[in-house]
Amino acid sequence: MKKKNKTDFITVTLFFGILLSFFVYISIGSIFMEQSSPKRTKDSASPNLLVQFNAVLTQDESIKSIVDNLDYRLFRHVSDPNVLLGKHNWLFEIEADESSYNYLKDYTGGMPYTEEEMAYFSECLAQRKAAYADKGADYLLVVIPNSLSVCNEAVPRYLGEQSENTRLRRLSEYLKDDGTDCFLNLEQALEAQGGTALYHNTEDSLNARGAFFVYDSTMQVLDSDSYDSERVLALDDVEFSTRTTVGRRIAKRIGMEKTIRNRTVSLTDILINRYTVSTKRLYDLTSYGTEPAEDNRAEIILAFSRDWDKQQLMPYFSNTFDTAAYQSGLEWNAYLLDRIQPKTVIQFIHESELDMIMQEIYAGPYRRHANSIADNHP
Amino acid sequence: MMFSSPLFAFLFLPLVILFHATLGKRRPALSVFLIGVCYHVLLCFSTPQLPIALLCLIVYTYLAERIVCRVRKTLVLCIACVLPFSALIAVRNIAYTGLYDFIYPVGLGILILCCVSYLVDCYRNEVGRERGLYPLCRYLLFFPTLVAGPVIRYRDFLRLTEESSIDCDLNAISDGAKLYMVGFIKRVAVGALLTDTFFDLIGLTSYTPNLLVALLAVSSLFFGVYFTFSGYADMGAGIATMMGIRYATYSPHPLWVATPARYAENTFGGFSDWFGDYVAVPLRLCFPKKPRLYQAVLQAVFWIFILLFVRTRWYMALAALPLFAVGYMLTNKKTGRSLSLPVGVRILTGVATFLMMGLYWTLALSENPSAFWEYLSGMNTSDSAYQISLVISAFSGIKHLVVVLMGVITILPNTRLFTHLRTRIPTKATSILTYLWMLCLLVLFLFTIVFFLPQYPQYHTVPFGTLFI
Repeated sequence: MKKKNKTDFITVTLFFGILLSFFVYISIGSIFMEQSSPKRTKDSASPNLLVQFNAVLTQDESIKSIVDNLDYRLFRHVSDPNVLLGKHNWLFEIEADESSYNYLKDYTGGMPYTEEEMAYFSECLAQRKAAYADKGADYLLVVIPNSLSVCNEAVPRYLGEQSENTRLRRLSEYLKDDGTDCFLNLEQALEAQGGTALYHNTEDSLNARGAFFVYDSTMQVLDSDSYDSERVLALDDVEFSTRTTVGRRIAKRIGMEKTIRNRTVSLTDILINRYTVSTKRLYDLTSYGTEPAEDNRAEIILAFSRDWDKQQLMPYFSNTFDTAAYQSGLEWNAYLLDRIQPKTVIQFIHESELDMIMQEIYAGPYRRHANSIADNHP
Repeated sequence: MMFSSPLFAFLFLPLVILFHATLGKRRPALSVFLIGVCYHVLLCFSTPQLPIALLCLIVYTYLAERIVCRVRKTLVLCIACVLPFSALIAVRNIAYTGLYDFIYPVGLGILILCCVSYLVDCYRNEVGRERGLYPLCRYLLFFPTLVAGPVIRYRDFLRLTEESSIDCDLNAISDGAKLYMVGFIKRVAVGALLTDTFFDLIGLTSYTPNLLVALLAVSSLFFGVYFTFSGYADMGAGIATMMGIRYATYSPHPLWVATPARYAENTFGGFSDWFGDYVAVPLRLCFPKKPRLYQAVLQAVFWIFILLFVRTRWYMALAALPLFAVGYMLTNKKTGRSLSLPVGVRILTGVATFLMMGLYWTLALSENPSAFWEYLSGMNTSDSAYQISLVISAFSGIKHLVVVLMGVITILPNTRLFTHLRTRIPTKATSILTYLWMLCLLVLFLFTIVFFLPQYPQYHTVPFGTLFI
């Protein structure tokens, strides 16, 4: 009986101990909340403290942070259903924020392009090539694969192997059979270099090392007459430093940027930037040496769908070409071409953005220009 | 202010138990009444509808009892008992249409059953002199049974709340605390997550419905409903026990049910006394020599009763028809009792019951039956790799596994297996097991407060979400 009383005493003490500890915590929290709220909302009108008592637990930032941390560290789970948790602190997005592209569906081969779509894509590429050829430039479209397609080590095991039916793979085969030579798929090249080392673990974007291999692969397909081969950078010419920083976009999206840190790889000072940048209204122009380009002309135009890629790739291309122009966006710009008169135009696009090539807003101006060429030279 | 809300758990509960165990010890019945008044006053701040409805019910029941006891006609009693149900249907319809941001008063169904119990018991002269405004208020303001029952008959309530039967000692508080913690974990951690899982699964596959995912969703809802309902029942019983009032708790087991009728009896076991006394007994008198007909009518009335308690719409009534038919078919022709089925058949009917009840609850939750049919008819096997990956991704990690384990821990002491084990193992081992279980419960309770409670603020005021309005 005595033993039973002892158990009861311990149970009651611990039970009320837990309840009263939270009572103290929430009471203090609700008093602070009351003082810090500048305007009383409708919700917190008359029985202010009583209503806020319930609200503290759900609105308190430190409790939110504890919940998120416990969810991730203890359960290996994130609350956002649009985020795929990979191995070794990798985060992948399931559906793109700005478009209807679904990374996971594409990975599993659930959204391949139809024959008609691939034919149209090929046609759009041909129109782009024709339009640039009319301005005297060679054209190349470089596709940077998704991190989910390349970083096999970080992909969760339950997803299995990537499907052969992904948009990029099928499109690459189709264009190869079609004889299209202005399309460069970097999937295999980046995979061979160890995908996880080339991307940020908390964002679907390249790090400095990944950018180097994009540059390297691109240079391999460019006509060697268009640049000074002695200035082409090799892996020995560059050095990378790795450090952990605050989590990037996907980590921020789920409020875990402090918990899931980003492995950031950047270039060290060993690569000396020997070029000068001059910023124009529609583009950035770099010239090798200390003097800016005089006539605004450039050997090459590098166009990017994302500005981040431009920042990452600029040190490599600008240290290689005498003059290079960097354009944000993949739109047709006749004025820019007439002004810069490049020998080569390279457009960089991500695997998740392939649709952009076929969208009327981008494809239309190229088609109109290509048609006008055909009309003028029947 | 539901039993799992922070205001109730961290402020109201410790204060009232302290008050009841110290100052209220001399007059415990009065203390229970005062605590009930305090609860309803605080409830006014979050859901003012219930105290208003309660006031109306008290006035109505008091006047109806006066009339019934004076006229003493069965017809008058029937009218007096049925009238609150029509009010209940009217209130439900207003809640469904969502007019004027009207929120359905929590526990109104239970209160109406209590009123009926009061009227019938007074009519039968089973309550002695315990009739009038104060005893009625005492009965209706007894809040632990408000959310999920059980519906205590008035005469039982009088017996339970006699000054001499209320025993608020350390043992009662400890037992009550354990029950409360079990209920809290069941509702806040297991029930909430499983119901959430249902919505997540349906949401993830809304564009490309998938049979496997749908089955998973239906199962999670099936268990979600069980844990939610059982959680509130346990919390209520725990609060009452802490106040020294021990009423018979029922421990429903959704897995060991072979027919829909058994499922309903299990889940809504808290109504069995009320139903048996005020519905089954009069019905049996109506059909003395026709047990099968009596059983059929009883089943029909029971399902109507359940429909009145849960979210009721016309398509819900249609969905209940096959459940009623199965229940009727599985009764003995001569005795009218449930057939004892062979094990194999029992497993089969158990699986069928599981699916039927899962679909029933799914229908209860769907705002629009056409959306439900669209989902069912849109099922296909295309994109199955993507669907499966998506679902596994959303449920990756061990969160759901841990919650299932928590659910198992909470229902383990009520299982036959556990009881059997306790009788077999030595006393010392039993006490160690009890210690361990108690510690485990405390840890899980703390974890539920820190991790799960902040995630589900919607259940602080609306106990069942949209399920039971």
